[in-house]
Amino acid sequence: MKSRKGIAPVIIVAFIVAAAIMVAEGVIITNYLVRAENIVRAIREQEIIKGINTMEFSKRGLTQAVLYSFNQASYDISKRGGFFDPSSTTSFNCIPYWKTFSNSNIPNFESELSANMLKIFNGYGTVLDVSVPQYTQIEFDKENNMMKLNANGKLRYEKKDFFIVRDIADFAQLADLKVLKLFEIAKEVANELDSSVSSSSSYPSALDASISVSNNVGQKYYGENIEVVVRPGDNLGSSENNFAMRVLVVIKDNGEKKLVYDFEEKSLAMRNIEFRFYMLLGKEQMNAETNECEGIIY
Amino acid sequence: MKGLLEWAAVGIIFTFTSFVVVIIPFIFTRIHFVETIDVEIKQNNAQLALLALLSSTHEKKQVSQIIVEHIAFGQHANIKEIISTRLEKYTNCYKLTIEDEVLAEKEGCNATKYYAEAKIALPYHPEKKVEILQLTID
Repeated sequence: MKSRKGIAPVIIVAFIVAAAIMVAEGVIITNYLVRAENIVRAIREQEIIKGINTMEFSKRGLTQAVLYSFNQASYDISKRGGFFDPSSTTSFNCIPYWKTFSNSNIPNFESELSANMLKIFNGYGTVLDVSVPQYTQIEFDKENNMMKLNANGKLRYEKKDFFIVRDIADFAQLADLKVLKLFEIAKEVANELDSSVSSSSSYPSALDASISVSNNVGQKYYGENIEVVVRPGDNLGSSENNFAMRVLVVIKDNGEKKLVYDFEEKSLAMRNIEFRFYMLLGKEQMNAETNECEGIIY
Repeated sequence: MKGLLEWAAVGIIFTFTSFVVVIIPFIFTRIHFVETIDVEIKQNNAQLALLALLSSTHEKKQVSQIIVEHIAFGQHANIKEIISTRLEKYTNCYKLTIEDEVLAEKEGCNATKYYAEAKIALPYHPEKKVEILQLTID
């Protein structure tokens, strides 16, 4: 009887302690469970932020890639007189003839440039961490020195069964569009050479006329760091009066050099952009000397 | 009196054990979560520092382009200075590497904990289009 009396307070205290523990644990566990939801959400948010950052890195990569694509396409195509594949036209040492007596063969430079720039640029899209759609169109805004690129979809980053980040793929990029001006100057030189050499009565006067064109146009653009070189060749005709000559025209941007891949040297190099083309002019008609040109494969 | 003390001891052990057994897993889970978030946040900070670095310019040229030219030709002798002055705004301990080359590193500290990487576009090359740039911070 005595021992039962002694145990009673212990049992009461034990119940109170057990109840207090349960209440305390209940509060702590509830608190943790509520916080766990926030913590899990915070971890998921960090994953999403990481996805957005990955998208930003890829967009940054694309803006740099577009400049390199533009530089490469400009270098390769202008060096080949505005044709990506000079073997598709009359050419000698991969330099096309823009004019063979009365036959004109002036390329659609912007179209050649944008088509080949797209080939290079779309290659970068395959190696980035986001899914990049195919870019299909480039517009050159010469007044504002801008390029506008349009794609057939959106940029997309996906974490399977969790989230998808999408962003507009179309963008505009500032660029040095001097190469388009070089093409305009090239056309100007071609027109002037055509009229002055064709109206010359003899080979010596045609030589003087071509040098005069070189000097006149060259002086006009000297201040813009653009060099105009006209190299008339030997008389291919049967006499001084019945002459024919092949003229090499080089329009060179002596400003900032561009970092490009040189397919001849098979290495990266800093290069000036320059336009090169031939003209076969004169009185005596003949076939232009041609040879095979190895194509470029991007 | 002796029995009472034994009960009290049992009670204390029971109380302590039941409290600890239930609470400890929660504490460890919480610590794990908090550490995970902390690592994620610091890795995000590393990403932001890398983004800021690549977006910044030096003499009208983007730092990402300067890095690319350095890879291609080793042209920029002061590349360490260009990168360090920018990264020091975001962290006191950093290391920026590309392939096996360390482009810039804080002296007297070896950053190993939190990293971010970015693919930077290289000039056209038939074999290689991008290079992975890795920033590690502590």
